[in-house]
Amino acid sequence: MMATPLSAIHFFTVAVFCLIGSAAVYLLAARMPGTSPGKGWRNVARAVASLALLCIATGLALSLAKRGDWPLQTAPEVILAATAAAMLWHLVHPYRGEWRWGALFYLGAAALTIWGTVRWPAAQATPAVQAMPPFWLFVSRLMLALACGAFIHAGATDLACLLTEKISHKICAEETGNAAVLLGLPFLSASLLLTVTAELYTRGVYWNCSIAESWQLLAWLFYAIIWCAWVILGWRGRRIWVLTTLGMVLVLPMLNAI
Amino acid sequence: MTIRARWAEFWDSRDPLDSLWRVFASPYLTILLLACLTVLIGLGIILPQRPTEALTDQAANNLWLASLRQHYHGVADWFIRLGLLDIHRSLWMRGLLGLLAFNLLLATLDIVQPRHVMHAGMEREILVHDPALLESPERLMERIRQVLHAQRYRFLIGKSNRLACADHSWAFPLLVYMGLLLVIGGLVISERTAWWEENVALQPGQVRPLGHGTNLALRADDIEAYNGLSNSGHAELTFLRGEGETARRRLRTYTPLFYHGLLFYLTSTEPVLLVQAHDASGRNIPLRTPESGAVQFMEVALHFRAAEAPRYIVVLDLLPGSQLSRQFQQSGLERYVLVPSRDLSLRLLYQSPQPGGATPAFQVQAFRGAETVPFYQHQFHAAETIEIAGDRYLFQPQRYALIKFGQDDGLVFIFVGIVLVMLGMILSTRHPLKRVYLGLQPSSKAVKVWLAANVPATEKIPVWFENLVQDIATALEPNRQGKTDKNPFAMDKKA
Repeated sequence: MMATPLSAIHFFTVAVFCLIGSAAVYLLAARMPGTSPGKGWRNVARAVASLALLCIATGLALSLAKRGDWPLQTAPEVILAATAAAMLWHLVHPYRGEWRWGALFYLGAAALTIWGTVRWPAAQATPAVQAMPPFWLFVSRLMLALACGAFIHAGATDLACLLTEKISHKICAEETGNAAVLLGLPFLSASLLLTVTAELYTRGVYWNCSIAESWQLLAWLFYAIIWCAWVILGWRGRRIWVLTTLGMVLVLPMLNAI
Repeated sequence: MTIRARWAEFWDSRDPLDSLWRVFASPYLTILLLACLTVLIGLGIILPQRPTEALTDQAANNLWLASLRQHYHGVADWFIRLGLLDIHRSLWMRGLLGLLAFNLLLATLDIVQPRHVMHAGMEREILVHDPALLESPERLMERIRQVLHAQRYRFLIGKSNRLACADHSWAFPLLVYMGLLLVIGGLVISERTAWWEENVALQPGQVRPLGHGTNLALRADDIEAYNGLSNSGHAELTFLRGEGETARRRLRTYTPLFYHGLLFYLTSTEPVLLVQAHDASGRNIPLRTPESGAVQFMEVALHFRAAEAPRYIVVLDLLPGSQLSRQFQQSGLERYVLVPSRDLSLRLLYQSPQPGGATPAFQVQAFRGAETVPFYQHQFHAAETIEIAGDRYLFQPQRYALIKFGQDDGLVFIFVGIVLVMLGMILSTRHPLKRVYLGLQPSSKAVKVWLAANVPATEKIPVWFENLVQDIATALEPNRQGKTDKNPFAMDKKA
């Protein structure tokens, strides 16, 4: 392969700037005098965020091409993939609440990208993980990243809603976060199922009680509570917002423990 | 709503048994139990957990506990007493899972056949003045049933014909509940009936009975080491019953083999060196190893296992998630043979091959008495006879298969359960449970139709409930509208 002066770090750095740019667009729009800002501002922020998503994906692909192995084998890769997934969910279900709190998501995503970049280059996978077939591990981690992305998106959106109601004293009609939680939970379940199956297949042990697995189980139980509250009890609004915001906090140590 | 008010909603002192059912079938209890399990798993992450090595090795366990006491002082004993150092096997975990299973079982029954008005918060009331309907509440109920049936609601009428329950998408939470029950059931079956035999070493041609009432024996042939490449590392297994062969299978590294309800894994393969010694006249010379003590053998089998050696130091680290580790004082790839009649000792070293590389090599070094410098050394790759100090030593490299096998009937339940949980969660994402309770209160001038949804009264009115009330009101009396009122059946919640 031809040597290139660009490395994954360069792309991640650009992504951080793009995300901060998106947050700045939201904050600028919120400070605009007179009537509320138009749809154009939101589209600008989304376009810049899409560029950030593209940069993270390119950075991961570049690293993959150099390594010649399946992606998402190590923790920093999963953190960055989860950030990309959060942005993907955010682009699919855009936040339509108050402008100034909308910046929270992009700032959070920028912080996550910095975290993943600081932990780069990706360390070696643990021996237990190495025993898993690489494709299997990739699919399991992809599910985990999509789930974490959904949880981060849901948490950030619902935190913005909470702040809108508590500080701005305005009604927030967001329900996108809840939908993302209910998408995230099946993805997390799929990730757990794949991990359990792979470990049983390769080593004959389906549960290791490792820290990474324990964090995943803990997050699963927590989101099962939210599922129960949403589906069975019909909770909506503030109570779910508080729970999903707490869930977002739980996702961070889960990603750290991979 | 406060906890006391919620409790009062569930508890009716006139019928304690029924109240108990309500409490144990409640989704609030499900949430509480899930929250407790979350806290317990969290404690398992924060507090040091007894490692597997400490569970199987008493010396390591004592060392680990001593180190724990040194680190946590008096609190350590509380951790031990409360079972917080083995949380995944603790009574807390079992008790909570048992309660959760009981709760899910009752909740499942309650979904299949609703017996109580549960968590009905959002209420609406319709007043019906149509004389034809006033005369016959059954006819009124039938008209409501038709409206609900048209919207694909399941309609279940109570014994009194005055109360009814209708729900939509009830099968999806049912799938989740049943899946969770299967997972818990599978865990119980696994714990009670599963058995595993680990690190069973088989040399080529050796027959080993499987035991556990299987009436089968196992023979391993053609053992090949795993060298890091895919499809490498295998053992040809022959299953025997009595004198006859029942099957031949190839067992690969990292790939299980299913046979006769049993699962087989090739954990690894280990190099073994068979050593024999003969004097000039061809008579056997007795040999010893440091592990065998004073017992002498005509042939010794030296196992080279990197992960195991007779002497090691336990390394303790109480940080959450840290594994208890052992540092080996003597490498597992180094073995000794003593020849007492010649005052000789042989040091044998195993050099493992590089991934995808050449065959492994052995090195023999011979020492006289207490000398530390070998007077003879030689390297070999295959079976070889070497002359040392006038005697002939036969070295035969072999490879043993380390096999793990066992039976776990709970696995099927666990996996089917997880799949059901996932399926139910995905489906309920799009279609959350919609449940409506209906009650009729006839009077001389009008019939009150009370409707309550499984949505807390404090929440925003869901669109589906608003539309449903509107549709029922239109069907009963086109000019009437639904309106909020206090539940007239608050004192009689048993359907």
